[in-house]
Amino acid sequence: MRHRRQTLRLTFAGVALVSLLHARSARAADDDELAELLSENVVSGASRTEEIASDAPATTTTIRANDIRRYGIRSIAEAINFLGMGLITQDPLHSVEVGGRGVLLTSDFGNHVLLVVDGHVLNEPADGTAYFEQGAGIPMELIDHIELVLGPGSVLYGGSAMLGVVNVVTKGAASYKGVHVIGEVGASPQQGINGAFTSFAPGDLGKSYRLAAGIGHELTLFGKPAQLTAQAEYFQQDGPSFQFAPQTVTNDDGTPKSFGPRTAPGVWGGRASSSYTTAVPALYSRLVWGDVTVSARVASYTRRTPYVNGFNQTVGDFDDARSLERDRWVSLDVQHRGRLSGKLTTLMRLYGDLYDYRQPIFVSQPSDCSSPTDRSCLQVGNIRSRWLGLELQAQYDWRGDERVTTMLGIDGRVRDLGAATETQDGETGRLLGTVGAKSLTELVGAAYIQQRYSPLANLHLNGGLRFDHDPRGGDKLSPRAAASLDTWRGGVLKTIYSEAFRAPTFYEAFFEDSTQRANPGLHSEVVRSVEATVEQKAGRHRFLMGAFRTWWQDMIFLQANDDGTYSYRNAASIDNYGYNARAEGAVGDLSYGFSVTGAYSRRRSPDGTSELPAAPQLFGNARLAYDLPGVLPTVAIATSLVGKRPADRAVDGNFAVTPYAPAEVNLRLTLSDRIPGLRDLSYRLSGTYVTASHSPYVAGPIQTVDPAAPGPRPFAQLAPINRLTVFLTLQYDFSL
Amino acid sequence: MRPGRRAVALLLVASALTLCCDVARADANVPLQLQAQLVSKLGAFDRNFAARAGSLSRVLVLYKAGDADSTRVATNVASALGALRDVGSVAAQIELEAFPGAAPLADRCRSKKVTIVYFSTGLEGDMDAIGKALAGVDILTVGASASFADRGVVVAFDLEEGRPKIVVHLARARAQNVAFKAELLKLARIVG
Repeated sequence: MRHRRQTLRLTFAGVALVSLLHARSARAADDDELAELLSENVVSGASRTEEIASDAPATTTTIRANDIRRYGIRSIAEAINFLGMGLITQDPLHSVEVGGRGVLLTSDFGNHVLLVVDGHVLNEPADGTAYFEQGAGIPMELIDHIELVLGPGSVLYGGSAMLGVVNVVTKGAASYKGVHVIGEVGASPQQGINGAFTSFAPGDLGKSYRLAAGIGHELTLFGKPAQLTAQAEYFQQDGPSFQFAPQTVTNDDGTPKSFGPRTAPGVWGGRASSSYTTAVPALYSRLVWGDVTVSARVASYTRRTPYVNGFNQTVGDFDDARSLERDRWVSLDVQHRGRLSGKLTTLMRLYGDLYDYRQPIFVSQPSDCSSPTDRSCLQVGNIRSRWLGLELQAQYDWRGDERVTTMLGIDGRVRDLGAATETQDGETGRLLGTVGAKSLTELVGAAYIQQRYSPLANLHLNGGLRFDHDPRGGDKLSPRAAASLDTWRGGVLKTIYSEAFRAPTFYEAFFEDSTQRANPGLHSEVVRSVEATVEQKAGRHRFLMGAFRTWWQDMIFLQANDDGTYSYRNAASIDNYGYNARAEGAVGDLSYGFSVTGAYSRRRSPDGTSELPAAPQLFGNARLAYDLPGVLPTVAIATSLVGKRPADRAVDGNFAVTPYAPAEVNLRLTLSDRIPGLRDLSYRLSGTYVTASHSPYVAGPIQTVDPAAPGPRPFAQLAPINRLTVFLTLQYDFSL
Repeated sequence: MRPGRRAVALLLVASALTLCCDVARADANVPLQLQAQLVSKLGAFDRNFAARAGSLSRVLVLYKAGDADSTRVATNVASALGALRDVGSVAAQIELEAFPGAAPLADRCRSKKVTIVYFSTGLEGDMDAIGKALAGVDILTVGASASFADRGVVVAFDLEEGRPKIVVHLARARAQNVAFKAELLKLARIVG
């Protein structure tokens, strides 16, 4: 009897335990499934329609505002490097360069990547220029998320979307409610040759600051709900100063070349203390009123680069503050979304931009001036572009269940472009001459179609085709076809074929001076790509692996003519293939992320086969963030890794040793939280350390060496990297 | 007509067409399939859901009569819910209907023991009346977009930082006997 009771007790206990475990496991499954659903990234950049990222016709990475804040991200470039996958930026202490999956076209000023903010393309049409550092003029606090859409994307966006599309979506008023005042200060130590820190004295530090004021407000305007978000800010950075090794340079007649009063005659180098600066005033605002959205952006970007370089500052005095670059933009975008029926939606977008670029360079060596003179001169490069466009788009949902939808669109714009390089007397400012003066007005147009079809609940097909008519580069067809299949639970297989193009820039096609000939016959660069990915979702965790192969044709490079001058020509092709992988997720309050991209890229031209200068073939990042309990801060550690890569003049420099930039690790530690007792005041304290001392850019007037010249060949001097930065951000949020 | 002028005329006509239908509404920016999946999970995090639903979860999906887009959203959500095996871990019965008015809806919810009501786009303007009529009724109400959140539903869906976000109106939840567990509230944006 006693034994029976004991058995019964044990049985009940066992049943209770199993039930408890089952309930717990069911609850855990519920938690996991909800977390998985809430971790789904919804993107709009790939097909210009909101869709789950794994169904989208491209490989995408979403960088979220929360990560931007806690990892101390201060620019789109940093977001790409620390949090992205497949894209990477390189900083020549100038405008950063963007590459993707092993391909980086140095000195392209971002014109192989399309930068889109709230549906408005920021690449200007004269040179396709887009900036990804602070000069982009997009306040980071306003960004809701950034979508990195990898691979050719001309099918819906037209030219320049060759490496990918960086689609920035700003916050709505609900997410940025109130008035926000932000102050930020940063400092970097003085650096010597080889990146050594030579002074931490306050007077020697490089300094930066940012002041910003933003607003997010929901209101009723003429009886309709409206949302206003806006932020104005001013960013300034001055230094740090860098030490450059001396380079001895003579004129053709053997006399020492002058690099101004800060160096001895015939010598370029020394400490550059007044020529690494940035100033960016910017205003971005967005008003959503019913079905109408109005976005406006006003920005200016002034900067100085502390070294003569191969991209756009081939002459000039050493460390002269009169040499600088300045871009200015005014952008306006008005969008109206309408519904003609439950199945037919429309978009009308009217957009216009004003842009100009000015680059004065002070030159003490008269023979380096474009117009004859026997004194110093100020060379002033000018570019301007204005454009006005109208895009109309209709989307029809054939069955009303979003499984068969057709998007049709037309986009037409008129653009007015001009450029000229003036030479002014260095002392009086008198105009000595003008070269390369050219202006023209162009009409461009495009029509596109995209068909989305989900024949099964787990199969999503997307096909598209765009026709672009561009007077520069000719007519172009850009197709895309993609299929994604939800295979096993949480698993998605995806394959994509896509093409993209870039029309020759105004500069490449039309610029002309004593050394360069125009080539209006240039045609567009083209890239074709195939890729496949497999993605696995498990609760809050996401894993992705992919492989890609791209073919680049008709790439535009500067080539020597028979008469000793140069012209841009469609002279090269690029073969590229590789893989990328990503893992991200969270366990409790700990979140993590990791990405790696490996590629093999070779450029083929009449001169032979070579590596792509400055293009990393191996790069990635890793990050961890932990929300400490109570009043303790969020601790976030992020790293960005870039492998060894050839310098920009590695192929044509003829240096004693082919210059390579060493592998580089960026380490960033950020602490952030609200200040206890002052809940409306938050802080962010961050420090970045870079292990490498040099970037893949040759610095100084010795950019190439004549192999026939007598004597030993010199070594290349590579540009320094700002290796250590500490900054503090304070933000006060007022309620409205 | 010259081709250039024809193109301009075409653009103008197309522009006029796109502007002619100005419907001030908040679109459901969270994909509808995803919304349906989220609705199906909500019950598991409501302490009172099991008692409310019993052995069958009755889900009423409402749209605004005569509003084609509202009908489309509701139809798709109802269809996606129907394809799921259960709602709140309980077998579900999905009903798709035009919004009958606030008072009849409240009567219906009481008499038919409706478990969840999903409001499609276009019903934002009726939410004040609906909220008042449903006060004290034991029911989970869900809105298709964030604009419902402050207007009388317990749960609304928003897109935040490129991910779906559950917006919970706590006062409304209490008024309708919905008691969400901490696990859900931790992941949600709380209003009210």
